[in-house]
Amino acid sequence: MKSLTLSARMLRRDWRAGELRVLLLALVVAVMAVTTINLLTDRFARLLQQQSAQLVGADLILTSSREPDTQWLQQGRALGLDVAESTEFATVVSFDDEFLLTNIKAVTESYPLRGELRIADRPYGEESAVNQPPPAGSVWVDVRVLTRLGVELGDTISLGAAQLRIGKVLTYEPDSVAGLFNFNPRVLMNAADLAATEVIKPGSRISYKYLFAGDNSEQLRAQLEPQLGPGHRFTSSRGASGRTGDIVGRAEQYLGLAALLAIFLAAVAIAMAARRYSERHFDVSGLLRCLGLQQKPLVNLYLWQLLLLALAAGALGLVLGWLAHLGLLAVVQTLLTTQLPGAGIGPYFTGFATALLLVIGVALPPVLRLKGVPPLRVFRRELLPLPASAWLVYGVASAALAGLLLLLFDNIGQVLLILVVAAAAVGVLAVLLFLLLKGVRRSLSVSSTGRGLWLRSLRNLVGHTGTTTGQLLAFGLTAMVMVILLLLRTDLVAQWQQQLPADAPDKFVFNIQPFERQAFQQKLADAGIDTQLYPIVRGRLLWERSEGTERSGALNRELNFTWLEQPPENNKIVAGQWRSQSSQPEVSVEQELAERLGIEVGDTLKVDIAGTEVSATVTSLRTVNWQSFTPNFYMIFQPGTLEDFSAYYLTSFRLPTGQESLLVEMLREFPSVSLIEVDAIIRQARDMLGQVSLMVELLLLFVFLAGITVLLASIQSTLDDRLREGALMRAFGASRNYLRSATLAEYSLLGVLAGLFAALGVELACQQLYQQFELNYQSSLLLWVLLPTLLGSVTGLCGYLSTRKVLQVSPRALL
Amino acid sequence: MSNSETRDVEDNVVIRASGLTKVVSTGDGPLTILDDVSFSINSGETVAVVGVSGSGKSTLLSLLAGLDLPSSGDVALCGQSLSALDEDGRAALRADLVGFVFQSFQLLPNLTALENVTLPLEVLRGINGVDSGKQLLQRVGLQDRLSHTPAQLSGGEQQRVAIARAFVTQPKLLLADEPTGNLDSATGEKVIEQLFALNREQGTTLVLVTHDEQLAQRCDRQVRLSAGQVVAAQAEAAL
Repeated sequence: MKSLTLSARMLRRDWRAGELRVLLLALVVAVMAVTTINLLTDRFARLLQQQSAQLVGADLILTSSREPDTQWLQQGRALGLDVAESTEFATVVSFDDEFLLTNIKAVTESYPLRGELRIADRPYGEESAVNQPPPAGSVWVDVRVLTRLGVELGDTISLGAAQLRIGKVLTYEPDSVAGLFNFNPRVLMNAADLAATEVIKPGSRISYKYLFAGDNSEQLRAQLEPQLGPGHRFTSSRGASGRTGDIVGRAEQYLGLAALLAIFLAAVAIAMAARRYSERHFDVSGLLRCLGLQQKPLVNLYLWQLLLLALAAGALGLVLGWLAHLGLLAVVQTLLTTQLPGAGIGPYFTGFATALLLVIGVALPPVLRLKGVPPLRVFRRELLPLPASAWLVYGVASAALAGLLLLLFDNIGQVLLILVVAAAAVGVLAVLLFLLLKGVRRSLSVSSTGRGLWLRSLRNLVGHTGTTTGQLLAFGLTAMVMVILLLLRTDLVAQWQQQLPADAPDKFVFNIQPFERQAFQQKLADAGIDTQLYPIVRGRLLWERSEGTERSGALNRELNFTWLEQPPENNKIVAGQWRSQSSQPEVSVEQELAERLGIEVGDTLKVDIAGTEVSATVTSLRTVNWQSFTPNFYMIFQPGTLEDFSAYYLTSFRLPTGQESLLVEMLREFPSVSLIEVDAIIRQARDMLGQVSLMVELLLLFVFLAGITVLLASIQSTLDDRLREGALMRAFGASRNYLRSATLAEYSLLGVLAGLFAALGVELACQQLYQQFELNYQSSLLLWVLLPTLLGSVTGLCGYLSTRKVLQVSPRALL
Repeated sequence: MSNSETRDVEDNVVIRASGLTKVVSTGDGPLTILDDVSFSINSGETVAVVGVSGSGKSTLLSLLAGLDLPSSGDVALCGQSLSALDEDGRAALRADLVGFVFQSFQLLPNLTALENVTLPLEVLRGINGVDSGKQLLQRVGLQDRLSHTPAQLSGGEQQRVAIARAFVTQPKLLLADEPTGNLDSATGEKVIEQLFALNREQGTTLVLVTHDEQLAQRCDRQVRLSAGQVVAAQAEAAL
């Protein structure tokens, strides 16, 4: 306790003397960056989770072909989850003499647990959002039910034995995305009416769903998973965010990188500041040892100080990080359509731990050197401490840093790769710098005796080879890191926008009969819409799953088969060849499905189409870009294989604004076709893209802040020498003006050199990093011009501003 | 405890140096800095170690303080052999027994005069010591300079702070290395007056390294070093 009080007192004295400012600043910036980034990613991840949940109507869904154990609902409730049930089946509804096969979804009162239902009072009328199902006795139907049955709102239709009134037009329901190609018109009813319909009988094909929502949904999943039997399947909202999930995943990856680099820069600053702190405490330590302080209490004295510093920086960083994240949110808020959910405790914990681990990992090793300061230093100042026991100190430091990385990043392999790349780049830079400085030094000493300002600056720089190499590395690395992030951001955002082009199709049309095909395509062409129509044959895959492969819904439901001469544009063949020369029928299978079912190139697949078996050899596996908003297929057959079966056609297109009437017209002209509108999904994806891009830009600020601390630490690390040199020069009669220009020249030169090395570093690192983000890196000459110019100016200015003291302090005080 | 150590305690011997030799290796081969130096100093004595630059005075002082170890021979402080102790043991002994005054003052630039004085009490004894610090600073005439940092004090004032710091732990032995070396003679004279006065008051044993003959003469006796050897250790007639 005594040594804690004493440490606190000594820390306060050091603070008073300005010894700790840069160290504290660097620590605070690191904690702040980590806290802000983690708070934002945490809250956005929760929002995304919520939005994905809205798409499926719950956080977790248990699907079963038999009625699941109602005990499971109880278990969900016991965990504090909201629960709802949904029962889905296909049945015929009728009105007068008209019959229509529909997909019915009967849901309990709490449905949907997440997201909303959208309904309208007339076909294509204004939508309103509700979050409860139709009241008992009534149904909400999609517009196809109205047109096919020729009914209106308020009419009563027969559903099995029940008579139900049509209350509203159903325009959107969660989970409709998953059922994009669910061809039957949809009817939503209240589960209370289900018994009265008497349609559920033994042997009926029913899909039962238990929906869960709440914080503990993953826990429930873990509890129930072992109890599941065949035919039970879990879907979680995490997997449902296909289209936006990819973008957000990348953004998280990028933000993670930004956090890593901000910490990396802050760590560089901390290391530099801690080194200076340590060096400035050699004398104190020598004196205390001479006065009789033993090594252990001396170490404790500094350990407590570091701990106190970490606590202070942690607390300050947390508060500032929290404020900064609020500030960033205030900027982004206008773009947010929904309120962000609150953050968990995690980001605060991580921020605080960052301070502790950085202090242990980066600041401790130089400070521990103080333990080895010999007491004899009081007589012989040239005596330096022996290096602290390297294995222990660096072992502890590495463990702390590894701990920090594990704490901050899920994907440690990738982080390590980035670090290895960074270390390699630093290594190359250091060697090049060393050689260059040596070379310049040699050529300067044999040639010229010039007195020009620039030459003197250069001579001064290469004269302090060690210091200059350090500063060049620090400035160069900082610039490199910032430029890499900036370049990556620009290219990432461009890539995202490419994925969601302005003309992404927002309408899917299916059930186009072969006889309607020409006329349909013509009608669209007349409206200036160019589309491709894909033939579709529905069938089942007859596939003996090999051992060890996952159960899959693919076997239980009908799949869409098509045939094409060429693979679709955004598909990539990853195994085999699109077509072989064989005369056997051939098929190309989507890769993930193939993996799930254990299908390989060369296997023979059998499919059942309307009771007829068709065999085809798998010639290739394809990846499919599910984000593309164009029709995608699991199985594409060779033309000539399926033409004998009755097919219909499918297409997607973007409806130009203002042509909504075309839709009504087309539905009237081609009454059997079905239409799915995905505008809402596209809008949501676009929103998210906007939010994520903006956040990425704002967070760059932290990296800049960290970079500035490196600049400060670096300038401060040589401040003592510069003050002494400046005082000496002034004592010799150098004018303030001369010193001012000399400082400016020296730092500008340092900046230009650092800029050149940063450009080289960027080229080297980007080649590797871009592959991680699946981007192509293109080097640019502009980089080589801009970076040195910019860095020269910034460094010159910063150096000049922070060494103004050189000009203000009287030479007497320093010499 | 060996016989000589037991005898030291009984005889009131504070320092017993026996056969102290210090050899360092240089580029030109080994260099003998101290060569078989032996003497003893009793409690309450004031002894000057004198000699020209390079005669080994400061090396001797650092060996007496246990800051360095001899190549051969031994130092015993109050009967405790320094060679028998490890570095921490020697530090603990210094904390108990020894105070220092340095030529270059060795004040901590970030601390005020008062904080500099109380530092040994805070760090070594874990006590606050503000009152003793103030008293001592008043005793050396710096009662108005308590909150000044070393940069705000003159050389003489800085050395007076250092003297106050040396006496704050009431050491049995005070080692002073050229205490006036960085001061002009008038200031040096004042500082030395205060050093001797405090020394008398506290009954401290004083070992003072100097090349200033006048200063040396103020001590009870002198140990004269030349080329690493004791050439004369004479007792003052006054004794």
